[in-house]
Amino acid sequence: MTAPAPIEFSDATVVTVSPRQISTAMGAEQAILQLDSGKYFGLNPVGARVWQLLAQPRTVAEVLATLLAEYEVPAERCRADLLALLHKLHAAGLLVVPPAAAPA
Amino acid sequence: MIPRYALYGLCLATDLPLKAPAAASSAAPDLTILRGGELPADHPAPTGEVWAAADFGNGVAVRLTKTAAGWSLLYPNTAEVRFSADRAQASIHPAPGKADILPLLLASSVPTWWLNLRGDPVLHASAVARDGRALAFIGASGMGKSTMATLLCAHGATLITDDALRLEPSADGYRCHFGPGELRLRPGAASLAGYFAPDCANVSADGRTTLRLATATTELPRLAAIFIPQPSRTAEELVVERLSLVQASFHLNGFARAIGWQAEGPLRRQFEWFGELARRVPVAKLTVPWGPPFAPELAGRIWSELADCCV
Repeated sequence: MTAPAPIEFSDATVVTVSPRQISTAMGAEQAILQLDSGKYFGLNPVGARVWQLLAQPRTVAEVLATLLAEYEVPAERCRADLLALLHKLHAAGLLVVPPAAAPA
Repeated sequence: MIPRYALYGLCLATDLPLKAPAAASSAAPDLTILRGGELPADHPAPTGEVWAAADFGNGVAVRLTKTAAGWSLLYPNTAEVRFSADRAQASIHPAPGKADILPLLLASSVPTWWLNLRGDPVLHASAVARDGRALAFIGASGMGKSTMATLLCAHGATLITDDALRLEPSADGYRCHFGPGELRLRPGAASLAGYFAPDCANVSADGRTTLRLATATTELPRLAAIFIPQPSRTAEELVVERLSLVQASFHLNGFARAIGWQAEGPLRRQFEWFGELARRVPVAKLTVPWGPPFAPELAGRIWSELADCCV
């Protein structure tokens, strides 16, 4: 699998899980298989919550707002951790920016 | 009539001599495999859609191809199995000089791939049972699966399988199907054959010491736990480390008996199937003080230590 071109995520970027994966909840965690690379990934409970939110297209700002409402964490740290996770998921082919929502 | 064998819960009919329990003569074969002609020395890979391909090194590889006539399971430079489209019939063709290997392939690898084609994932595992409970040992070749099974069988356990474990979901978890009833020991563990009666031991076509052990074929043992042996020359005690559900799921997928899937259907099926297995059965790493020599009390200690994390 060719690594996707890097994306600069902004609050307005709409993201969702890739159709080229399958995943299953394992307790509070999430196991994911990328179908093109055949690689397995695991998400901890917070990552699994992000994954759950991204089951449908959402903006980064929407995901961030939900996390801030659900977890006691400073906003800047939450944003940094979320963006780091989104970059990793995207590089692994697990996340896409839907074409209709891609910036012009 | 073509001889019929009971393997992994299947009735396998074949004209090749297998070292496996006989099936009831009234049993309808799930799969009939007949010896076919020898492959030419320059036998090409069949054309079609490659469903799986894996290279294990040391010249051992396998390739499953969907062909116009059914499926081809090719072991390069060794043999080819050609399954009919309905998977009920097959022929097996040796490469020049490889006919002796055919029974070994039929005893484990071929039924494994066939089961996967039917939607039944199989673990790369050895397994033993005692008092109706089964323990499975998963891992790549050479990680100690057979050695663990041999140690426990030497101390009263019943052999379920040595290489491929077919599980069947049941109301109380999973039941284990019996394999051919033979343990294949690596040279480093061949001394373990001394635990058993001399008439159990033999040498396989690939030069390994084998032990033919009686297997119970009545009630299928319930799987209590799955362990990943971690042989250690420095450890002095057994250490059991229970894996998280995600880690358990990854290891089960990594130690499937049929690997290298490129077709999406079997890949999805395996992921979901092993995920459910990880939810229902504990999976743990087991650090084992390794031999030979093995401590005489090791098998007993394994059973007592493992009792704490079994279901």
